[in-house]
Amino acid sequence: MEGVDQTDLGSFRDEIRTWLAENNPGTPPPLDTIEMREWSSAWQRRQYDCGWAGIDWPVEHGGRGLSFLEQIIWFEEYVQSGLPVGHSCFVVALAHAGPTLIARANDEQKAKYLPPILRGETPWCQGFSEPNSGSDLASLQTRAEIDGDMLVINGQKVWTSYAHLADYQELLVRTDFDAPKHKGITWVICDMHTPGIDVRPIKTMDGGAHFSEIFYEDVRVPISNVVDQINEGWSVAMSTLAIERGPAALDYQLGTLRDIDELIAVAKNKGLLKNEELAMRLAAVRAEGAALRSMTYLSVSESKSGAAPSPMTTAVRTFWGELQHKVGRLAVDVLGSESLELGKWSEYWLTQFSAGIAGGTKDIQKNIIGERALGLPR
Amino acid sequence: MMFILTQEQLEVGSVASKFLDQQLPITKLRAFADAAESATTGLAIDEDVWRRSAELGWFGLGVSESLGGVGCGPVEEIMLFTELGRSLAPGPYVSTVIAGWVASTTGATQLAADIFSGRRRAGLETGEFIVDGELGGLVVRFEGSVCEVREIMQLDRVASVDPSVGLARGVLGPVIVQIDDALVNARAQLLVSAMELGISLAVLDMSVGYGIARHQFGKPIGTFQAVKHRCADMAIRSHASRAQTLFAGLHVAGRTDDAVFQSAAAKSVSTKAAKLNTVDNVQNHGAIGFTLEHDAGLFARRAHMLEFALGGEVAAVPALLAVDRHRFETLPARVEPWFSPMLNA
Repeated sequence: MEGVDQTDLGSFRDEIRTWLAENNPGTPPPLDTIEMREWSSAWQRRQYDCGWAGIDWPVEHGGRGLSFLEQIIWFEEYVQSGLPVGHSCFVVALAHAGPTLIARANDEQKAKYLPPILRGETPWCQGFSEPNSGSDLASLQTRAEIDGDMLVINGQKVWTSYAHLADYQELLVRTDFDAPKHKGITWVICDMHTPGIDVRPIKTMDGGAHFSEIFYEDVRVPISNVVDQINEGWSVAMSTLAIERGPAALDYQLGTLRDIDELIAVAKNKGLLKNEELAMRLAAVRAEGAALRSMTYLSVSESKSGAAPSPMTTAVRTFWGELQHKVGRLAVDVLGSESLELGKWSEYWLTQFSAGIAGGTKDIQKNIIGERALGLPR
Repeated sequence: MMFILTQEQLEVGSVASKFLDQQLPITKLRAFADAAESATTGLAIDEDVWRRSAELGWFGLGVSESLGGVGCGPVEEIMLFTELGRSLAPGPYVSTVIAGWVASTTGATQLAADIFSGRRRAGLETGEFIVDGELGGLVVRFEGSVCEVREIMQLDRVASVDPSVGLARGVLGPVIVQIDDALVNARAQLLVSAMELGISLAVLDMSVGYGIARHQFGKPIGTFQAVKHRCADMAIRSHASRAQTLFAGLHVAGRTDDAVFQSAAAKSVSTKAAKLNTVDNVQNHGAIGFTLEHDAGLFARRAHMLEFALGGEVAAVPALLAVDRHRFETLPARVEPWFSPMLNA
């Protein structure tokens, strides 16, 4: 373990900082509407045109081909610039679908689907959870029958972010009902404009509307859209989940650190740092914020050095979810009755309820840590 | 790759672990504690192990070779102190190493040599007490950014919450050597953080082992989510403590602008991890964990002791709240060695 040579990275950082200052879109993204897609697309395209999209993606897929360190520096400067994080309908494409395709898709699929992501043309969504398959994802029942060179899909997905704005979906379907549950699943690229797909938005308790449930009725998808092999979908999905639980969410994680900084500033302006209990709690969450970043650096370094993905990457996500909860609760305590008016921090409090649920509840994650990382019996 | 332990760093940990397993098993710790209790003056340490620790270079591990040390840095020290924590090694390792830093960097060559060779050791001022001090021995104390070493003129032992750590009130003599450098405290915080990390990891192993071995209702208790999730929480806290302590180690090694903040963060998460993990560990063991003969109590008591070392959690608050924001731009730089004649000049 050693430090890094700052010389080159420092100038790279300065370059990003200057570019972000000069190219900041100025207006915040509209939420959840078709205007959000236009905003996200234009902003992603702007980044692409200036060479800031896919910094650590391979050059042949439209990326810069630089190391994870440069990618991290981009995220750090992005967050530091004050630009909103967590409000882009490209998040699944950039952080999930893209990295999974890079890891598991064939050359033809990579050439077709990856460059448009970086160019801001094609938002993606995820099609994993079902009404009866939440924590027990592998029990999913959405079925795909093989009909010549097509898959015919029937079933239902739910909790899909930005489904109403997406062009493509990373969709998990059951292709073998007789095999053990993990062995009969296929990961397929689904065009969201295919006939038979019905997207119905679901509103969330914080007032948001980025969620949907999706119904599939005889949806015909070419078999050539299957990533890896038929019935190999669980292992493809696991590579996606490992990404979700690891470094790809770094900009979101650093966003939490920025939230902590802002909350401390609010408390300071209110003179609340003199309150020893609040000061201790704020200091503790800031320390945990620092630790969150260190844990992610550790995970990324390990994965880039070729080490097998550690089950403890799950720990980072769980730690992060619990940290968001603490920050939200602290925000209510810092604001006091002011938090009764809907605003930035009361919305933060309402939104953090999802932190222990999204991407696998923290309860199932603790089972995974207990069983896979610690070796406790099932 | 900046965040992967080198072979040499891993080796510092594995050599220490092997030595401590052989020389300082916990059964021995209990015997030392009993002996110290009856002697009323002595420390709970084994002079032979202390001498051999010196032979392994532990007391000058992070000091430049030109100053008589081994020439490693903060990350290697973290590897060593994690193992000292894991084995609940008795004796003033933290404060003796700090005294060695101060003596060697300020040109007190003879004192440094005495410390590195194990002939002299130093206790640590902790609140109103001196931890593991000896009459006529040294004590390390911090005053703002100043770290000073004094001699102990008078020592009145009090009953200690941790039977393997000596606690006393004392009278101190004049300053023998001192250094004014805020990063000395930051680096010292990491020695304590590392010991706390070792404790967090040790009790996690203990709980997982018991979760597998102990059966109730016809199955291992580790199958129950109440126990499994507590173990997962212990693992998450240990992971945070380890990542932050090592990352802070890189910052302190590179003497970056963010080093004081990062080490305060390490102390905060590590103290919390050791505190909560040792509590959860007793609970995971049920009644046996509450007995004197079980080791769970020893770990809880040492975690309690370390919680207050170097000012404790409260001392970390100003450093954590002083900055306006997390400073992402300060990545740990590649600068070593740390305690070198250059720093002094």
